[in-house]
Order: sequence, then C-alpha cells, then structure tokens
Amino acid sequence: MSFMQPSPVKYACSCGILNPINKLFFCRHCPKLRCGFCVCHEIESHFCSNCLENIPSSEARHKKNCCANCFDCPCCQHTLSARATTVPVVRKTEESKDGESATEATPSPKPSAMPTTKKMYYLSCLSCRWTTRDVGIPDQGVATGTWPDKECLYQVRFNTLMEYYQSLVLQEKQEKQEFLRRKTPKQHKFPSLTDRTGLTVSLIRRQIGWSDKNIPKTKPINIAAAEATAEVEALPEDIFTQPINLRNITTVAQRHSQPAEQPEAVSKLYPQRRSLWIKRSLRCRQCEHNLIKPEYHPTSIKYRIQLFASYHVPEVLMVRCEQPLQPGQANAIFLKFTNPTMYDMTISVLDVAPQDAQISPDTFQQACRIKEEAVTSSPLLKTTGITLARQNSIREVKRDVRELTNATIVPLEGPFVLNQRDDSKEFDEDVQAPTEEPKFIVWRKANKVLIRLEFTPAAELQSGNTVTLGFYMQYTYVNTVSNTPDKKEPTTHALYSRIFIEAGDIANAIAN
Amino acid sequence: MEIPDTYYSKDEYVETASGNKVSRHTVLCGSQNIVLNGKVIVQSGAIIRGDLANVRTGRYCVISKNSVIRPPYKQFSKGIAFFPMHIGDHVYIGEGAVVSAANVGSFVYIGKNAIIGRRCTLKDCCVIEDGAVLPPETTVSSYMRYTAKGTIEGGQGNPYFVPAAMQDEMVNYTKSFYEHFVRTPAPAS
Amino acid sequence: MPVENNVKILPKSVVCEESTLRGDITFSAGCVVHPSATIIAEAGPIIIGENCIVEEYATIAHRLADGASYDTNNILSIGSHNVFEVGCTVEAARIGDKNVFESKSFVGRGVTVSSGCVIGAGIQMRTAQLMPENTIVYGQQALQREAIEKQGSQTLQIDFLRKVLPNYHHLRKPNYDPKKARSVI
Repeated sequence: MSFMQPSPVKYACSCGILNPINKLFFCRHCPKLRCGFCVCHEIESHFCSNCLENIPSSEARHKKNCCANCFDCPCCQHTLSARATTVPVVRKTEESKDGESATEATPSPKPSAMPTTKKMYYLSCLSCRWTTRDVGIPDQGVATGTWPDKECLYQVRFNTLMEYYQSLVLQEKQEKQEFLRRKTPKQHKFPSLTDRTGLTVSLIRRQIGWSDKNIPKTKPINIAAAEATAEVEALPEDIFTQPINLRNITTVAQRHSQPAEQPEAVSKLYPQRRSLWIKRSLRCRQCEHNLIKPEYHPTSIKYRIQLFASYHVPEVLMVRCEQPLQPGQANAIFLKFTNPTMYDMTISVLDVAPQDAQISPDTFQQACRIKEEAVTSSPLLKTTGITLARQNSIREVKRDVRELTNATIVPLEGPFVLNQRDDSKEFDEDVQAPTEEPKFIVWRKANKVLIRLEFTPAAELQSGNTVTLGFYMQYTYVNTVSNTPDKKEPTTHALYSRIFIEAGDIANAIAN
Repeated sequence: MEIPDTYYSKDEYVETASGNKVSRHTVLCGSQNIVLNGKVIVQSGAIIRGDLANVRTGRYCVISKNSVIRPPYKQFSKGIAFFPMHIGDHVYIGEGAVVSAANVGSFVYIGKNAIIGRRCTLKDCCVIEDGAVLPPETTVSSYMRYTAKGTIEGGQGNPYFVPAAMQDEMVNYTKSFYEHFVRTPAPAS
Repeated sequence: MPVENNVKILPKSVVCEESTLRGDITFSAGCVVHPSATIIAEAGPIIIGENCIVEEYATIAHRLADGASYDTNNILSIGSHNVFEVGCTVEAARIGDKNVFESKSFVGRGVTVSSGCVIGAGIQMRTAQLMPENTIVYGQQALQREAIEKQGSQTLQIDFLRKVLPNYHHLRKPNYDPKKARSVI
C-alpha cells in the first residue's frame, strides 16, 4: 500500500464533492467540512521556488512575478545554474572560449602559469547541457549575474498601451467622483455662503500644508490604433530547396516559453526569468474565517491557522473485507476509527441521515452572520482586488451527494465511544481492563477502535465491478471555539458526515 | 487504507539497539560513515555509499529495495569533492530510486524509480512522484510535487498536489510502516 | 556453451570485487568499476577503453543475437572516458569516447553511440540508430540536440575514486601488464 495511492475511504464535503480526508478542511465556525473547491484561495506570499527567497507582493508585481536571480533554460525549461570559469585577464580573447573550467574540468595544462586570472560565470543547464555561450551571451563577472534582459520587440507599444489604459482608468475615476460630488447633497449642516468658489477650502488646505485638492484633469493620451494587415511576407526561396535540420528548429514548447519573440531558430533562445510561486491561504466562503494560513517564510512548513479535517473529524481507515466480494452475499468490512481530538466522541454508523442531528445551532448561524457583516463592511474586502479576485459567494450552492453505493449495510446496533487522543499514552504499556463492549467492536486501543460492519453487495453486480458502500457517521464534536463572547464553555454538537468506501472489486465467481 | 504487515525473516534482517532494521542483502559501503538515527528500515538490495562521503538519516526513514543513496560530487578546478548527505526524519525512499541529493528534508516522499540528480535540494514536506527525473541542482521547495512529467506543482496551501497536513501524514505513514514491518512469526513447534 | 570468465585488468584500474563480470572482459588503464556493477560478455569479448567509470547497478551487456553463438571476433569495443551512471543498461553496438549514460538510461542493441553524447537520466533508446557526435538526449520526450561544447572528461573523479575506493573495498587485482606480456613473448 503506497502513500500515493488514492484512499478508498471518501468523505462527502458539505459542497457535495467526495474527497479523501487529507484533502478536506473543517471550519470550526460553521461547523462543516470544506474542500479545496468550496473555499476562497488567496495569495499569502510570493517566493521563488529555486532560491527560496520571499518577495513582497509589490516587488513581485514590479518584477512581473519573476525572480530577479533565477533563470529557466529556454531549451528544456529546467533551472539554469551558474558555472564558474577562470579566465586569464590579459589574453582574454582566446582563452575565454576554452579556458580551464571549474566544472567541465578540462585538465588544466598550466595551472599557475597565469597568475592574474578572473572568475567569470556563465549559465548552464544540467539537464540538456544548454549554456549561455551557445547563443553568444558574454560571460558575466558576478554569479548572480547582471544578465541582460532581452528587450521585447513590442515593448514600446506595450508601454504606450499601458499608459493609455492607466490614464483612461484615472479619467473615469475622476469623472465618477465628480459626478458623485455633484449628486450627493452637501454634508454641511449650514450652507456655506462664503465658500462658493471653493477658494476658502483650498486656502485652508494650503495653510495646513496639504497639497491642493484640485488635481488637473487627466486626458487620455492619443495613441495610434492598431491596424490589421492581410499582407504576409513571402516565404524565402531556400525553404523549398534546403533540407531542414530539425536540431536547429525550436519546439513548440520552447517557442511558448518565449511568447514575445517565439523564435524559430535554436540560436535565438534566451534565458527566461523564473516565475514566482505563491503560498495560499484558504478561507471559508460562508463565514470568512481562515481555514489555512501558512507562515510567510518560504522554507517554513508551519501554519498559523490549520483547520485540517483530520484534526477534528474521526478518521475512518479501511482495513480489509472479511471474505472475497460476491454479489448478493453477506460480507463484513473491518474499519478502524481514530479520534484526533482531545475529547471523547460518541459515534454511530447509520444508513439514513440522522433527523435531528444536523446542525441546527442558531447561535452558530447568528454568530456567523454577525461576523459576515463585520467582514464585508471592513476595508479588507476592498483590498482583495490586489490579491486573488475573491469569489465572494456567501450563498452556498448546495449540491446533492451522488448516490454511489451499490451495497447495503447493516447499521450498528448502537453508538460506541471513541476515547480521546492522548499522546502520552503512546509510551506507556497499560493493559486496559476488558470492559463490556458491544460485539461489533473487534479491538480497542487508546483513541482507536476497530469495528466490524456487515454489508451485502448488490446482487446484480458483475465480476470486476467496484463495490462501494456508504453510510452516515454521526459523531459528537466538542467545539472549543466560542463565537459569542458570553459563552466560555465548549459546546458539543452532534454532527454527521457521509462516508463512501470502495471496498474492492467483485471477485471472479468461484464455481461458474 | 491500513498498511498491511510486511514480514521479514529473522535471518535476513539485523536489528540494532536503536531500532534500525537493516537487511543483510544490502551494500553499505564505508559503514563507519553511515549514521542511521534510529527506527530506520533499509531493505534488501539498497546501496548506501558511505565510502564516498558521510550519509546521515533521521528517524523513521524507509529505504526501499534496490534504491541507491549516493552522496553527490562537485567538480572544482583543482579536483572533485563528494559532499556529505543529510536525510531528515520520516522520509520514504521508494523502490529503485537513485538519490544523489545534497539535502533531503524531513517528511519527504520519494516515489519508486525516481532519480534525484546530483546536489538537488529537497525541502521539508515535498513529494517526488514515481519515476520522476530531477536534473542535477534542482531545488524542490516545501509542499511542492515534482511530477513524472518534469513539472513542479503545488505550494503550501494548495490542497490538490501535496496534502496540507503532509507532516502528519508522513509521520503516520513512516511510523505505521515501521510498526507493520515485523518478523515472520516463528512456526509453532 | 558457458563462456569462461576471462577478465583482464590493466594497471591503474580499480575494479571492485563485488561487481559481476562474466565472459571475456578487458579493462584498459584507469577504469573504475563500482560495487554491484554488471558487465556481461555473452556474444563476444568486451574491451573497455581508458578511464571509464561504471557505477552501481549499471549493466553493460554484449548480448547474443537470436540463434548466434559466442564469437571471439565479435568484439564490443567501448572507447575511453565514458561514464555509466547508476542503474543504466547499455547494450549498444559500439560506443565511442567521452559519452555519459545517465542514471537508469537504457540503450538498446543496434544503437551506435559516437562520441561526446549524453543519454539523459531515465531515457530509453531502443530503435537502431547512429547517434552523431555531441548528441544530447534529454527530457521526458527524449528530445535530441547538439551540444556546442564537448562534455568534460571525468579524470578528476577517477583520480579521487582511485584514491578512496581501495580504502573501503576489496579489489580485483590488475592481472595483465602489457609491458610484461610483451617481454614474455
């Protein structure tokens, strides 16, 4: 059983999508399961995944979300690494080509013959052996390199377009403000008779030392509109006569990695700045609380907020089926339940949704609503334009969990208690006194319980079909977070989740 | 899914005082330079090249069958040097993997037949897929997944590529792997 | 007919005892064979040039074609300064100088490798072809390109290994000295 293999046990998220528990989060404020699909993703920090440097978002924007120091190979898109060569300073012209290299290790014929040497650096790809020398980029004196950026052919045009649209935005904003100013009634209690011209205001402003309010109105710059042409240059003559050397022609991937030029010849490939990566924080869409908030530092693996489902919801592990799966034949499955919380849980396994159990805590909803309002009116929302555009849908789209089961389960006779997690118990060898246990419990140790659940695969299943059984797991959850300030005591809720288990494939019929 | 028990014969494996379980059918060169920090499983056919440089692993590591742990070298103008290699805690190295990294962090999963080139850096909580090929000097940062296609995906907070609770998952996985790696029960006589 | 093992190791070569060598194999001066390497001379003798490195789990095989039998004149000659990295399998028809077979690469029968080539890690080459000089095969799709510069030789690594390996491994002794052999004749 590999770590990478998908888990056979899936939990239905509150949005209706099935996920293994390690992809789920648990919002303590709602309290509901959430998955990557039904939360807001926000950028927490930018960093370069190669040099592991944290880059503030303003700088990231300035650098066009690229790292200042790291380059990607234009040939195979792997990271380039700097290679040092020692180059004699005096006779630079000849030796720089095949001077003894530190890494290529041409055996140095005369190591100390030339005392005045200088370290020069070039970039080299260790995957496809491409080097900056291949395209004639001169070696640099510093390792991190002042590698020249290739000026894009259309950079000037892009810049004018950018300026144009920026001024357009500014103009629209000003017009809107002007419109609003005229529309809204004067806020002053008394109509100011003295200040009809607005001179007094500007006088006072100037006295305080503020800049004058009247910013000159911006006008969009006139730019030449782009023109479409139907004329295309004719193909060169030799394209029909010269045999093509595929090694000199770039691949589609190589062209796409250099979108500005899209070079056709390998000799025009140029190192590309490496794009930055982000750390994300996830936010519950319903109550706007963070589910995950990572630490800023790129190398840190810690979270400041981590509401993983595996910390709050009992984990169900499939151990094995009792017999080979046969259609219509009663079977049993062994499931291991683990309690990750510090409180005892009472668990029942049901085949129909519990009626009264589903979250009806009005206090919760109310508290959430208060929070929502507080958040939506806060300036936080306005600033999110900088980060990811937030899909701010408070209203949750309910979707029904697809009915996947093709087996019927025999619900357990009664609920059972799952003991709290106690890390110190791991070390002491206490023999638990055998207590009276319901007979479906096979084995119990600390916060783990192994149960035997009887089920029957549907009779019409063919051999090779996957048997999926589903049940409702109702569990008591002790919430330590208090939304309302007057409540200090942890509250206990009875929650449930739907769980689907792929028990395995129907075995080949024995005597057919 | 629960990890099934893996059985080994008493004659094949050596168990040390610190709980390491090392197969006799391994090639541990320069064993004085190899430090296994306890509860480490080294399965048959694995090669650890302690003769080239020091190799140190943390606790609860699994070095699977036919994998090769080989300290990386770097060439200088005056010669070459092999660098010591550090592997963190709770690291799983899959079958047939070739690891020549300079540094492997903790809670790292390396799939089977993956090739980690010379002087790569694998940060904590990263995943290398089965059969992935990392060219030399690649850095895989935390919560990233290096795919068999050769791309890097994920990032902390992205739940689709590396589980957000990778640390706990690897701790659980390596611990239960160790607990389920048991001696074949002696035949009742 | 099982072929008799006849391994000739020239001086200054370092061949670890834990390697598997089968058939008529000649190591020229300065070769390094790591433990757990495998060299099989099934169809004919293998002659490995100077300063080659064969790493762990690397396999160099001179395989028998269907229905063929051992032929002393069917020599697989491998040039000098080649590196066979961890876990590669090379069954090429001919190998020139200064090639690098990276980890877990596979070069099948019928491939002729000239000089200065690099077969990237994990790449499988099975179709019969001639690889021109300085060919680099890289990436997931096994793309080919031509390197401008030749691959550097591995002499420095060999110097290091020649110093270090005898401290830790039992070696096969060099058993063939060309000078002595000449004087005997």
